Order: sequence, then C-alpha cells, then structure tokens
Amino acid sequence: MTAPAAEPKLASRAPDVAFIFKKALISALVALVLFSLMIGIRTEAGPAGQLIYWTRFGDLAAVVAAVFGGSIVVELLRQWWGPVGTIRVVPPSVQSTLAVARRAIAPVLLIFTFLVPVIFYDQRYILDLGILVLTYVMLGWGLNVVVGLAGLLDLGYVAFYAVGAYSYALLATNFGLSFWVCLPLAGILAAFWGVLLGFPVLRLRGDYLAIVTLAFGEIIRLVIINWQSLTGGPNGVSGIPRPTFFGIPLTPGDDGLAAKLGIEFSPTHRIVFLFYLILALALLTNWVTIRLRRLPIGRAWEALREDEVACRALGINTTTTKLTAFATGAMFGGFAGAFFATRQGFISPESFTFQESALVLAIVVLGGMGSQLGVALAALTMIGGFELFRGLDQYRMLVFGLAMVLLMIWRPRGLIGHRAPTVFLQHNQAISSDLVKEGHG
Amino acid sequence: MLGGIGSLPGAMLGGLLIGLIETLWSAYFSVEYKDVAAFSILIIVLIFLPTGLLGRPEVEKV
Repeated sequence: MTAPAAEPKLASRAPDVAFIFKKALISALVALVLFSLMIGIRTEAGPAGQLIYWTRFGDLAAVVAAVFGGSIVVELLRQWWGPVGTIRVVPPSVQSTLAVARRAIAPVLLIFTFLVPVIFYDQRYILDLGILVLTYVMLGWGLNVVVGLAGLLDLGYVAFYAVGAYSYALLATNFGLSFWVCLPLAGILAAFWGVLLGFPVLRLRGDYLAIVTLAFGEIIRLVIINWQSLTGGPNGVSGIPRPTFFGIPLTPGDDGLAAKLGIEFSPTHRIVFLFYLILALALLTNWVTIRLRRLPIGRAWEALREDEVACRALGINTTTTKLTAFATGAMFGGFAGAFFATRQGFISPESFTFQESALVLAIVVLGGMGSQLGVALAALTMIGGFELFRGLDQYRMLVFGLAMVLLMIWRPRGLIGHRAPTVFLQHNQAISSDLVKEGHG
Repeated sequence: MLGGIGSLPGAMLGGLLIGLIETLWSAYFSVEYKDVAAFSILIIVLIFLPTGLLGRPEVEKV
C-alpha cells in the first residue's frame, strides 16, 4: 500500500468497528431468515407417503456464524483496500515485466497446448479433459462471433451444436460418409439453421432477442427428442464411426494407421488424434475470426455491436450483417458438434440442453466479450475448475459458484475486459472498457 | 415476453394465450410438440410485433 491510502486507513479504522459489527449482524440475520427453512429443516417423503422431517439446527447455526464471520472479514478487507478510486502506483519494473508477461501468455499457452499429449501421454484423464476444454474453447470462440463481435445475445447456441452433431451422426450411420466429408456438410447445415434463426430476430433488441434465441434452442431440442423416426428420440444415435486419419482407420488391424507407420498400436493413438483434431478445428475458428475481424464484414459486426442505429445510418446493411454473424457462429458450432459426435460415438438429446448454452455463454462473458484469449482462458478456468473441484463431492457446485462470483467481483468486464481496436492508425492504443458503450441487440 | 416487457396487462394476456394455445394444441394435435407450438407462437408474434403484444415500443436515443 502506498502513501495516499495510508492516512485515511489509519484514521478511519477505529470508529468503524460499530459499523462493521452492525453490518455483519444484519447479514447474519438475513442469512438466518433465508436458511432457516432451507437448511434448518430437512423433509423427505416417508414410506407411506407422509412427510417426515428432522431439524438441523446445528448446521444452521454454523452457516449463520460463517456468514457473520465472513461479513466481518469482507468489511475489514474492504477498509484495508481503501475506497474505490485510490490511485496505486505500480513500480515501473513490475509494470514492464507485467507487459511482457501479458504479451507472452498467448504463445506460451499455444505451445503448451501442442505439447500436452506429449507430456501427458499415459494419463488418459488429462487427455480427455484437454479434449473437453478444447471443445468448449471452440464453442466459446464460435459464440464469440455472435455475442462478442456482433453483440447479438444468443442463448440458443447449443441448437447449432446439436444440428452439427446430429447431421454428422445421421449422415454417417445412414449413408456411410466419412468424417472428413461430413464435417463441411455439418457446418453448412448448421449455418443454414443459423440463417433461419437470424430471420425472425432481425427486428428484435435486447431481451426479446435473447428469449427468441433461447426458444429456438429449445425448439431444436424438442424436435430432436420427439421426431423418433429420424433421430431416434431419447435413445439417441449410437454406433457413430470414429474418425479416420484421412481415410486410414486407427484400428489395430493390418490396414490401420499403426501398421502403416510401423509402430505398435495403442488405444491412446485415437485419443491423441482426437486431441489434435479438435485443436486444429479450434485454431481454424480462431484464425478465421481474426481474419474476418479485419475484413469489412468483421468491422460491420463490431459497428453493429456498438450502435445499431448509427450502423444503419452509415449505410451498412444490418440484415446481411446480422445474418452472416449468425451463420458464421453457427457454422463453427456445427463443426464442434460433428467433432463431439465422433468423439463420443453416441449422442442423445440430453447433451444439448439450455444448460450447455448457458455454460458457453458464461464462458464468453467471463472471458470478456470479443477477446479471443479471454474466451480461451475462461474456458480453461471453468471446465478445468469444474473438474478440479470434483474431489469435493457435494460442495463442488458451491465452491465453483463462489469462485465465479469472486471472479466477477474482481473483473466485472471479464478476464480480458478491454478491447484493443481491430483497426488502428498509428499508435497501438487500447481503449479502456468504460469508454466503450455496448449497444443492445 | 409475449405480452411485452414492462406491461402488466400484457403479461396477463401473454400468460393466458400461452396456456390456451398449449392446451388446445395438445388436445387436437400431437401432445409432444406443445412446447414447440408455444415457442413458435412466441417467435411468430415477435416477428410481426417486435415489442410484444402490448409492449411499449422502445425509444432508442442515438
């Protein structure tokens, strides 16, 4: 802490004990009222259908005491940290190292990701986790095009994921087409549905847009569940063929890749191949997005996000801009869906609920909308964190929720909140997030 | 949402409409698609009336 914050801290610490105590007492009272029914009494249906309940006042007292103590700690921390807006001077040496570190995060992360299968070759759990994280990274980057770049709040992104997965599954099981042929087809079909979603929402703003996209996602899921003759309904589609290395299957037989390369076959080969496949797809998404950002269409998206009325006043065709945003985002979702189908070998409508959509949206918002690196880091944090807390059983969601809340308090605009402008003239300037107003819809 | 955000009679009307449509749909057509019908009605209404049935049109200051 530096000089400007020291004086008020010392002067105002003592008289505020009463304030802290009162605040903690009020928090504890609220907690008592809230939790008395939720934790204090536990009910169950008895064997004859009657309601049996027992009380857990010990737990209730513990929770209220924790809230009381936590409240005091938070208040003390807040007073020690100083009022909002105190200027802290960071020493220049730390500043320069931080700047170097910030530039180096992306390449280091990329190199590390390439080397993950090499380092963790025998730990299948880590490889599977890596594949899962990369799938969500790709979904996040795809949704980033719609939400982060074009500013269209899309709550039904899982619909395109489902369309991609089911299109690959049905094409592969009914027509026997290989993965590499079906991948572009899945993307095209998903993009088609993206455009179909785009048409009704052209005139909608803000909340209406969100709800209609949510409704769209739910419609797709319900149609998949109920159209049994086509999609098999809740039974899902099974027996989806695994991917081949450009036509050479990865099996232990004589025509397998292992035999061709002359190395010993091991099931890990397929996992490693899947890992690099999703890595390649995700990097493709990233590369296409970065290139599109510099093209007129990308700049039109960003203009749409900032102010739609001004966009139209400048002559940008908002209809085609919105439709292309949806189509592009949906296409990447479709690719991810096709990959998901081939990785699992079996898909069912339960994997495509609204919760998935909300998770991907949370990843995009947490990472900072519009920032590629932020979305990747957020996906790593959320999915990795989810797995990391698996050892805590019941308290996993609680700790996870707590971590999310803390993250949002610390970084309200997402992990990488500021947006460096895509096009700049001479100096490399980053616009701080509070100077940029987000448009709705 | 169907009735328009911020309008109480709109919410009532929207709720009534959705309930009626869902039950009537499941009575005469297949019962599995009643949620699809409800969502589709919502989307169709929002296409033609972007702020809902009784919603106030949003005035956006530029």
